Amino acid sequence: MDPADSASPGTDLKSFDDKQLVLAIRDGQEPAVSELYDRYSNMLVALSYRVLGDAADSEEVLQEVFLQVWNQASRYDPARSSVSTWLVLITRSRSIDRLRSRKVKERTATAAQKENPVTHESPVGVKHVFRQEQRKRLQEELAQLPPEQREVLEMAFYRGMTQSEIAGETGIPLGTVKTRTLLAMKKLRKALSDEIRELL
Amino acid sequence: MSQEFDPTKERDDAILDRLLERLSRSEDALERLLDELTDEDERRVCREYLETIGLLAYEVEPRPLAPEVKSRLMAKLESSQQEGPSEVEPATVASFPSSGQRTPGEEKGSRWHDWALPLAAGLVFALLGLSGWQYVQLEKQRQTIDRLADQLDQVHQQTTKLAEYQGRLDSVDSRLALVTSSGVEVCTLKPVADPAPADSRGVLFVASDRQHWYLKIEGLLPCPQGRSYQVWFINQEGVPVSGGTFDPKVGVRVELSSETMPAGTVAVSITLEPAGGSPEPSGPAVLYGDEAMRIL
Repeated sequence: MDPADSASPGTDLKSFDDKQLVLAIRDGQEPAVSELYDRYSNMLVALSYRVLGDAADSEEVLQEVFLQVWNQASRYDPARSSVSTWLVLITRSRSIDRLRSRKVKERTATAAQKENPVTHESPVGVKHVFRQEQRKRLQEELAQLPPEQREVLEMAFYRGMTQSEIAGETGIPLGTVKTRTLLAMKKLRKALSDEIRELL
Repeated sequence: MSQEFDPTKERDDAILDRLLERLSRSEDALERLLDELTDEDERRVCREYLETIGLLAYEVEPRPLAPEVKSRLMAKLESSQQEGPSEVEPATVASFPSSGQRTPGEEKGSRWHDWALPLAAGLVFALLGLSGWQYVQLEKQRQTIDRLADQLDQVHQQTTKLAEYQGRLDSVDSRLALVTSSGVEVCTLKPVADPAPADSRGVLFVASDRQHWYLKIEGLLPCPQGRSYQVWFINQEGVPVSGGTFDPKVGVRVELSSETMPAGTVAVSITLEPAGGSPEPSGPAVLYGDEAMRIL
């Protein structure tokens, strides 16, 4: 990131890319947080809700995430990840931290399953983040994974379980858990190569 | 038939394995793996998998949020911006009227300030001190957890490597058992056409059951674009049966093996075919062998 890219007061932040927004946040510009929030909050709160199964908790996590972004924007390194992945990783970590502290994994999983996502109205601003057709494509790619591969991937991603914990809970040998997760990730990396290239 | 050993694939798998091991830990631990990799290709692979993990979140349908959620956040940001400096700068406390500055009219009504304000200030500093101490302790614990997790990673990597070595050793063992078994036959494949360098060669070992076989090939050039080498087992009637395809890399030895071989095989041929192989030989033969010798 070039500091010269940073926003000056009055600049139209909507034309900024994500990295420029983070740079502006680092410079203490609150409107840049607002813009980043508009781009990602619906997706991030959905991710947190998928982990926690509780609307109030996931909104609190969202607040924590953006406060962390505000306070620690200087820690973002574009060489390590895209802004969207950085936000996803923070949201996921904070959600799983909260999940672990509550120790109500079974209840939340059930609650999350009861939720019918189709009933939600399409939120404003989502188009800035990920076009609907691309989301569908990702859902299709995930749907093409064999159920056993998808299961271990979801346990690792949404519940933050180690591979040993997954093996313990499912009764599957550890080696098999590792193989399934590896295969799933390799397939996704290949299938999503275009999207990944855009993020690099 | 076994696949050709591909060091790039193993490297990618090892990186992914390390990343997945850290998926249960903090976002920092995941991203720090990039810092631990020095090779540019390894960093690229790691970064691609990291972005793949980031993309997984898009599977979930977005949730609408009430405007109040954003308002609360922005209010918090504003207050944190205002409160931030005042927490560390004593100027705020000093700005309260001191007893020496008090006007006579204020004297009676503000006596409680004599003890309340210093007490409040003291409490604020005590709370700040306590928070600071707790933050330091928390950071220490996080560092300890991360250090232990790193050690666990290293142990796991070593275990994984040991398992890999064990796998390779088992493979070598089975091949050794084949080539040293009684009744094993050896057939040498020699270059027969231009695409094959003069020093290229192959050796086919066939077990006494005429089923298990192991073929080692050296010196072949990498395939041209859109082509691959194909192994053919030829029977007494001259009918070829495909034994699989391969694409050698420079400096990497090709080793193929299988537990089945067509009945009545009397010769082995390797031809250059379109990528993916042909139903029957169509390209030039590069290696050929038909003289089997029983060595044990």
